[in-house]
Amino acid sequence: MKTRAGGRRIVQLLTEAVKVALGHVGPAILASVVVAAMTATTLLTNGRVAGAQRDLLDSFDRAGGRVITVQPTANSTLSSTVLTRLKSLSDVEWAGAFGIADDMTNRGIPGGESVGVRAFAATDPALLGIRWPNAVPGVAFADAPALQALGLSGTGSGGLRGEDGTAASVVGQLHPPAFLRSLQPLVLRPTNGAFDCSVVVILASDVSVVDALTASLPGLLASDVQVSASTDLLAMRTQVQGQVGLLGNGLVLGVLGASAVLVGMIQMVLVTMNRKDYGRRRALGARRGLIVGLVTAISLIEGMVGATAGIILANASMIALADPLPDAWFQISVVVLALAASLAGSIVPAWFASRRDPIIELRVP
Amino acid sequence: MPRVDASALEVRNLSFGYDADLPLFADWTHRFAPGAITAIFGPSGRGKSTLLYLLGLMLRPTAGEIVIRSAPTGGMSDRELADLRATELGFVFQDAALDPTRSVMDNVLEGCLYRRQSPSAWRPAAQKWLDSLGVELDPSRKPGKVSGGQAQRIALCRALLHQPHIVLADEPTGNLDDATAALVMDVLEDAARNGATVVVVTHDSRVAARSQEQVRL
Repeated sequence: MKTRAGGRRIVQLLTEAVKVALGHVGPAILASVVVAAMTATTLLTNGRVAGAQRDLLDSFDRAGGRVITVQPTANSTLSSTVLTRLKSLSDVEWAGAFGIADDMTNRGIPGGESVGVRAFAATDPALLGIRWPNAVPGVAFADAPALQALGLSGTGSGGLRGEDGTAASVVGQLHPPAFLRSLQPLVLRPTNGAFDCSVVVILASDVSVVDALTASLPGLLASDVQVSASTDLLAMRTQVQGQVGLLGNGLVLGVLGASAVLVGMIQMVLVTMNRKDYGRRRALGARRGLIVGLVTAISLIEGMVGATAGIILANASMIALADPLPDAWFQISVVVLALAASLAGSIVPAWFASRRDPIIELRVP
Repeated sequence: MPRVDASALEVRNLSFGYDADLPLFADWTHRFAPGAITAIFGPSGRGKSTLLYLLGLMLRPTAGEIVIRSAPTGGMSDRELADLRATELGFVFQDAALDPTRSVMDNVLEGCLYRRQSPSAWRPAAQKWLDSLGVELDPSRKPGKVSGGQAQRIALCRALLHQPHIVLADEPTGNLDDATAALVMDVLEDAARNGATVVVVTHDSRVAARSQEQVRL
C-alpha cells in the first residue's frame, strides 16, 4: 500500500517536472542539446574508438590470440587420444588432432596437383562444418583451396589417390575457422580410432587462460611435446586494450565533467529566473525535499531526452560513415553517464531552489 | 454545519523585527476569532504583511510563538511547517502569484502536489470553485494575460480548494473594482461562516466594513 502511494507520488512529481519543463521550453531544449552533444561526442570519439578496439581485439582473437599448438618432438609421438583429456578441461573451447599428411591427387587428373590428406578428430567437428555423424573409412572433406587445387571446385566431391595407392573420397566441403588458416589447404579424413598426430590445435576459452594452459599442457599430456602460443600477439592485444582504455576513460571523464558544469549553469539560470515560482511553491507548502526532487527530475528528464537524441544522432552518423559501432553495453553506459552528468549538474540549482525565501520572492514592494 | 474551531490561530508573546533595534512586534498576544474575518489595518511599514507571513509560518518569530489549532509551532521542523502550510492554511498573495506557464486548472490544483493528493480527484471540486467565483476562462488556458480580478479569483480558488481552517489574505482586493472586490469578500465571508479563521491585511475600507474584528498595528 505504502509502495503504491510512493509510486503515485513519483509519477505525480515526474508529471509536474514534465509540465515545468514544457513551460520553459527554451532552457529545457538548451539543456537537452548540451546532453545530446555530450552523448554524441562521447560516442563519436570514444565510442568509435571502442568499436575499432573491439574489431581489433576480435581480429587478434580470430588471428590466433587464443590458439595453442602442440607438436611432438623429433623423437616422440603424439596420439589423438589426448583429445579425451583436453575435452574435460573447462579452459579448452575446442581441440583438434591432425594426423600426418599423405599427399594425394585427384584420381581423374593424373599428374594433378597433390594435397596433404590428414586423419582428423576433434572435440567438435562441427566447428569445421563437418556434419557426418560417424567417421566412415576413406571418406574425406576438403576446404575451398584444397578443392580448387584438386580440381574439384565444380562438383565438391571426387576420388583421390595417394602415391602408395591408398584411396579416399571427398564427399563434402570443410569450412575451417580463421585460426586454422596456417594448415590450409586442408583435406581431412574423420577418424574414430587413435592415430599419430603431426599437430594438435587447441582453442582456449579466453585469452586470459592461454598462459596458464600453455604451461600446464606438457604435464597434462604426459608426452614429450612442443607447446607454442601466440605470445607476441597476446602481448600486443593487452597493450592495445590498455592504451585505448586509458585514452577513452580520460576523454569520457572530461566530456562528462564539462557537461555537468554546462547543465548546472543552465539549470542555475533557469532556477534564478523562476525563483519567484519556487518561493510560491514553498509558501504553499512544498517541502524542500520536494523542490530538490522537482529540479532534479526536470534535469533528468532533459538529460534523458538529450541522451536519446545524442544516441540516435551518433549512431546514424557512424552508420552513414560505415564506422564500427560500439556495443550495446557501451551505449547504455554512455546514457547512464549522461544522466549522471544531468544529475550532478542539478545538485546546486536544486539546493538553491529549495532555499528560496517566500518573503523575499513574493513580497510586493 | 459550520466547523468553528475554538483555537484555530493565536499568537503568544510574539516578538519579531528584521532589525534587532527596531522590533515590529514585542511580546504581542492575540487570539484570532474563529469563524470570522479579522482585518489588520495600519500605516505602511508597521508590519502588516510581516504579521501575515509570520501567521503563515513563512517567518519564525524571534520570541514567542504561533499556535495553529492548539499546536505550538515554535519547535516544529521546516518539513512540519511546510506540511501545516499545505494542509491547514490557505494563502492569498497580494499579486495573486499564479504560475503564468501553467493552465488555470493547474494553478488551482497546485497544492495537491504538496498535500499528496491526486489532482484528478480534486479536479471536479476545483471546477466548482472556479464556477462559483465566476471565473469564465477555459480551465486549460494559461493565466498569463488574464485581468487582475480574474487572477485574484483563481488565487482564491487555489487557497480555498482544500477548505483550510485558516485563510490568510494579503490585500486581496487591492487592485479590484467594486464588483470583484465584493465577490472576493463574499467568498471570504463564506469561508468564515463555514468555520475558517480568516485574516486579511488591508487598506481597503470595503474590507474593513465587512470584517467582524479589526486589529490596528
